[in-house]
Amino acid sequence: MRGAAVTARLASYVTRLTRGGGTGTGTGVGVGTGTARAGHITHIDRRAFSTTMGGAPYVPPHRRGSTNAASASNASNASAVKTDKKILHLVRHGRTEMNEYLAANRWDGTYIFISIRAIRLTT
Amino acid sequence: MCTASDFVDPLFYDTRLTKKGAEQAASLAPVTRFLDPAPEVLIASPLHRAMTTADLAFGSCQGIKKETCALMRERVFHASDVGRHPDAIEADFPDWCVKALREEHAEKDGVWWYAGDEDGGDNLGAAVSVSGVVQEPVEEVSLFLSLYGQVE
Repeated sequence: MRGAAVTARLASYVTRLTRGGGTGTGTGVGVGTGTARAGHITHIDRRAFSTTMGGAPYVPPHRRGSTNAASASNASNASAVKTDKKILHLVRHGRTEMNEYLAANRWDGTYIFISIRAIRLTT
Repeated sequence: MCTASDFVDPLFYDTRLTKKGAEQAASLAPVTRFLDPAPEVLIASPLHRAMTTADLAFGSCQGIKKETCALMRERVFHASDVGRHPDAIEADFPDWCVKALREEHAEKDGVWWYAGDEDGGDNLGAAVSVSGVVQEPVEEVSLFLSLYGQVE
């Protein structure tokens, strides 16, 4: 059940990305996959997976306007803006044997589900 | 940072993804497939879980450069954070570049993970100072990333 919910969120994200752009206007992107417990919840761009943004589609950071970044109208406008920014997407690794051991044994850490976050880079 | 005093490290060296973990990583593939602009390079820590996650999550991104970077590794808490020699990594992940990893850690015979403190002590299984393992390399990480674009 939980897996289905996650899949639904991801599917929602894909839809938003497609609606938000997909025009190939960017000039470059850097993609990083780190294991850093960078997955601190405060570092995660929850908007990437949120389904409760008042119906506004998710807009990747490089496509957001300077104001009201999450608005649907800006999403379509921003998609046409060519950018020279590079983007760093951070991905948390999937659940490991150790994560499961930690979950079953007393430990202060909390496993944080794999997430994705985009960070602007300049060229 | 604290741990339970009776916690026992299960010694899962370089711990692997579970079936569920692999499914989680693979579930990102439909997302990464539509990233626009398309990814230029994957950068993962040399830990098995990170590289496997990257492969599964970005499986639909054909021809993408794949680089390992020890600076991306996790803090060292347990045996699960102890890595493997670049030769072993290369054998398991032949399409990943471990050249820099091998060269940068050649003086330590390819040991890029935390392997005891400078005076010979062995703190494996114990929490290691975050400032020593995480904060100091931040500047180096920024330099590494500057190869692909400067962090804004």
